[in-house]
Amino acid sequence: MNKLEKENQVKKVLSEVLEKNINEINEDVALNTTYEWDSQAMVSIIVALEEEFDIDIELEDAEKLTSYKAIVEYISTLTN
Amino acid sequence: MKLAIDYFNEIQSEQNFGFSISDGAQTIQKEELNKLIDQYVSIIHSKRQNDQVQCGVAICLRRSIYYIAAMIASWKAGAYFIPLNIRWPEEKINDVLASCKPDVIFIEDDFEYDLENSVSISDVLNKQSTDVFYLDNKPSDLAYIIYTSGSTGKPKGVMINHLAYASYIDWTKRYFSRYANNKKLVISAELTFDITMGDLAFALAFGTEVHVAPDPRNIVSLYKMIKERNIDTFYSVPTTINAIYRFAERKKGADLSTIKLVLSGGDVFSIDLVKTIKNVTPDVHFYNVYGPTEMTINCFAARLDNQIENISNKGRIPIGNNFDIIDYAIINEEGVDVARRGDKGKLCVLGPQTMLGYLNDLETTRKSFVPDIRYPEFNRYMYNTNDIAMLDDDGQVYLFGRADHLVKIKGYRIHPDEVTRVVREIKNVYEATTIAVDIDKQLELYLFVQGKTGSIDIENIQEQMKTRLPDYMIPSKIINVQKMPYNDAGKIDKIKLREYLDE
Repeated sequence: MNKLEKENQVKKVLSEVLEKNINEINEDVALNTTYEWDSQAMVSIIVALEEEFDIDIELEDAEKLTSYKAIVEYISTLTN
Repeated sequence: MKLAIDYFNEIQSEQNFGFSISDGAQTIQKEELNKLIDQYVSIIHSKRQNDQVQCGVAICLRRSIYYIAAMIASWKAGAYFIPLNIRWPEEKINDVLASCKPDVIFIEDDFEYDLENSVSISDVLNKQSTDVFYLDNKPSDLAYIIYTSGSTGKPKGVMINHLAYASYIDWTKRYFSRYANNKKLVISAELTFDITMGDLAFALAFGTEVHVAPDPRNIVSLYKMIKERNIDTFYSVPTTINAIYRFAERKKGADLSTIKLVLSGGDVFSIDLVKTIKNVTPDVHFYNVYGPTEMTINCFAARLDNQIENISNKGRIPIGNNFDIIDYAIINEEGVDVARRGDKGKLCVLGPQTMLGYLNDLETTRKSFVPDIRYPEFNRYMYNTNDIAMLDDDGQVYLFGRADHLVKIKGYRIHPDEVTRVVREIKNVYEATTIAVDIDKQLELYLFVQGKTGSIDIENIQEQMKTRLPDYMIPSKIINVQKMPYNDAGKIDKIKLREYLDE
């Protein structure tokens, strides 16, 4: 999977959980700034990312996944 | 009388033990904490504008050990504190400061707004604190002022004195005595909410370690703190409790096995949450605590985990029984106390936890108290919570929405919140709220509903409502919202919903 594909997958997950248009998912989207990204959404995002990428996210990583940017960076570190 | 600071001093004077505060990064306790408090106290004394009266200390810091230490230090200096949220917009911070006019404001070094009388945290840490003196607290002295949003949008400063706060600590010590050996609690709510004062009361009553979670919305960091620190005591708003239990349910390998005691306050919640807690943590004791900030955190409490069957039968969550130091009456429209009759009315409360009033707002203060009609000759006043309550045959008090939301539609007196409660229990409904809308001088009920996933079957909602509500209570319009708007206090923002209707 290349970088762009991964980014699009992250966008898809966020647009589904946050119920926003995929075009609205950009670098500004984050917990505490994006209205829809609240405590409940944070839980759903972590679980959805695990399913989408078939991974098990460590708590140390999961607690930092509070923005689109952080998630893309984290996903890019995953092998494959 | 033993006040908050006496509880603190007692813990600090114990051998091989002391008050302990931690945040995500550091821990401070015993002598180190005393030293930090002395630094704060020295600065407070140097900034006080009048030696003869209590001074005010505003705290505008990040969620950290320094925030909690500043609260305790204020009391040691004979002052009261006003908790602010560093994330509030500049305008709100300015509004609150203009209202309470503190002698000193503790701020972060990198705080972006310019404030009068502010002292940065590094100035506190650099302060030499020799010959520090402490001022006594009197029961009538203010302990803190907490700002709540008023219906007019103007924030109201609720003044709580040491008598009220000490009474709450004392109640905590009696009511939760079986949890006296709990070791660690997590502060998970906004520090500007009185839930934090409830957490601090628990720690002062039992010497429990205080752990400040980094961000109320970051459920993973909260979970991580609970897990890594072996937190056993957790008091929060229902949305946060719900989110963390959902995380524990859905994340592989996650559990909340260290938790022994959960307290929910500040808002209503569905029976689902009680059942989830029971499923995920069967041994946890779960309490619903209820009270307005004006009555010092809480004045009713109910243990829920041992009465799930009763709750299911009743179809609603009790607020339980009044504290042993709180008296109450349920006043109907004729002005009669109908508590013992089992009728509904406005819940009015009185006792030593009653606020002093709203800062510099005598009119609003007067309006929030009503004469105690049970004893007209006493000329005594009770605080009117404006919540509709009923004492049920199970000996517990239940709530039925806000009195100020009561509306008359087609001749029937209707509680929009009652419709909401029924809808909330319908499958696939995540959140709901009902408001009365004026359509050509006729009131109509509009229901806003958010599904658990995506859109929701409106027809099904209608069918379900018909089986559970009389015709006149069925809303004329159902609106499926993707996301319910919430206000600063974490409650559904009905003003936003009305604006949406206007559009």
